Amino acid sequence: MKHEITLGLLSTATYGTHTTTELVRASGHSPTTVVRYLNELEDRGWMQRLPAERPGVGRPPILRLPTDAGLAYLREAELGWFRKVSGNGVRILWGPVRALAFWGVPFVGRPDIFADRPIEAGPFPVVVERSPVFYEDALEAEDGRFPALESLVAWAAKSGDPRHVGAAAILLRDPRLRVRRLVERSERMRTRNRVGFLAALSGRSLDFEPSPPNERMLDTTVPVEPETEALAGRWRVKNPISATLVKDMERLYGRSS
Amino acid sequence: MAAPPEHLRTRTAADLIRWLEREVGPRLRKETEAIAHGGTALTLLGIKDSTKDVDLAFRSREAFDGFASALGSLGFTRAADFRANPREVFHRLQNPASIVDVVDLRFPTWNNWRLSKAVLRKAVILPLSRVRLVRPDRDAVFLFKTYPLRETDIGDLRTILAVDPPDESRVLELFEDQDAIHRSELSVETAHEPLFNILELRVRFAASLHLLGPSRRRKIPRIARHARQRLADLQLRHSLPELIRILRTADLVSWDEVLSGDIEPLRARLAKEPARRAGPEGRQTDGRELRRRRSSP
Repeated sequence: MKHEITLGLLSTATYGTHTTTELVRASGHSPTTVVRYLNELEDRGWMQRLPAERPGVGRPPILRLPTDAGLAYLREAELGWFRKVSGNGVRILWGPVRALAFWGVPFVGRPDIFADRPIEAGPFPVVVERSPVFYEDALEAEDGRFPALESLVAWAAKSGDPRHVGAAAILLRDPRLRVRRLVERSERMRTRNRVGFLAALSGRSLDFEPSPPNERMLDTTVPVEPETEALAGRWRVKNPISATLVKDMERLYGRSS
Repeated sequence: MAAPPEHLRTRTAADLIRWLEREVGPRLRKETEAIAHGGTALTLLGIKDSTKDVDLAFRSREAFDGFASALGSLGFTRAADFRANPREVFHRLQNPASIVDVVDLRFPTWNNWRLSKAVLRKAVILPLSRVRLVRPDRDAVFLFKTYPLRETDIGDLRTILAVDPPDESRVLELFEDQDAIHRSELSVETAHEPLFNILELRVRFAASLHLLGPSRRRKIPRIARHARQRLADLQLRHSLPELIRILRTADLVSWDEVLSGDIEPLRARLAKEPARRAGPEGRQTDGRELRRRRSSP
């Protein structure tokens, strides 16, 4: 059995709930290959079948789920992959999903990685962040390397993903945050105004002022509260996140301070 | 740099399944149907990661109470309700010690969506101990995501379009199903105002499509056209951007003010509409079909 296919199937079955047909579609391999691998994984005790039901007509689908042993294998294998892709002269850190969980804002989803260039990373989606400063002061943990809190906040503020931007607003109130380092990271990663705006929105004083040029926060223009719009204007931020979303996320995750 | 005090592990769909099967299921007195909604449904479909809260809806009060009680026995406590909707019961339950630590439960609807036969037709039901977890299909989740108008939901719609685009015919069929359910209630006595439900449904659908932007709308031209048409049928005085601003910034939209006295003519027009409207597939929606839809739960 090829390691990549095994890992890919286990990973897809762990980060979603899929029928055999859906696994075939998601994997990109032929039905024969997928069924052969699934049977082999079942023989090894790494996957199990769950007969499901449909309210409508049609054959009842079979879901393929990982067993405890399969999950344990996947976690080890992911760590192995992470180490493998880290060893090729590429700057690699755990991506937004695991990094945000590491710093206290967990998401439900598939782990990804940050890399300073596009790479083939097996089961991990790759988030390319080319700025070398982002990788400075990374934290070495038992299960890999994580971005510094300040780097993560500066990145999340410019990610364009509203959940990540909201997470940045929560982390800005984290007492572990080093303000001088955040200001420096924000400058060098060209996300100064977005970080300043988020800090103002979440009530953290960073002691710096907006400066040209304008920065765009989200990919889409969604109307926000008049006060938030005014604040974004002062910070030269286009397409800002709303205060309502930040409040919703604070209710969910609690304030870090 | 001080290291974080504890390592928080990423949660997965597999964690949710195990938690339901091993912890919640055995504490339920009888088989209980729970319908995955929002980000939870997207995560179960493997389409997108989501925030940590688990979203579940229930069709019966008994199921809702039974599930809440099971969570209570697991040490979950109720957080304050903060999204008042007089027609919908919404509880947020929390237990920081649990792998699934925030659970949102709603009954009998989720953002006014009726869990009709059409909605559940393509769902998959996972029997997990005494929990019967319903995973709706991608097209139902796409439609559900057109309601809230939050930045995150617009982002989710964009992700669905990029990762696994919806079947336009099915989305329109589901939209019409919901619209028909609300219209069928216009002429009967109800505790709520069905007209406002129709307004919410059509305006939010059109608003979400508008906020997706032109390049995304081009990927689903029939849905975009239908959303525009259904909004235009209402003949509201406000423009769509004005309505979006109202919906995005008001806690509870005052449709009385939006309609400014036009309620009865609009109600009369919408009550007559079903028999004349062409369905999403281009076929006429006849009286028999409407009766069938009305009888759906």
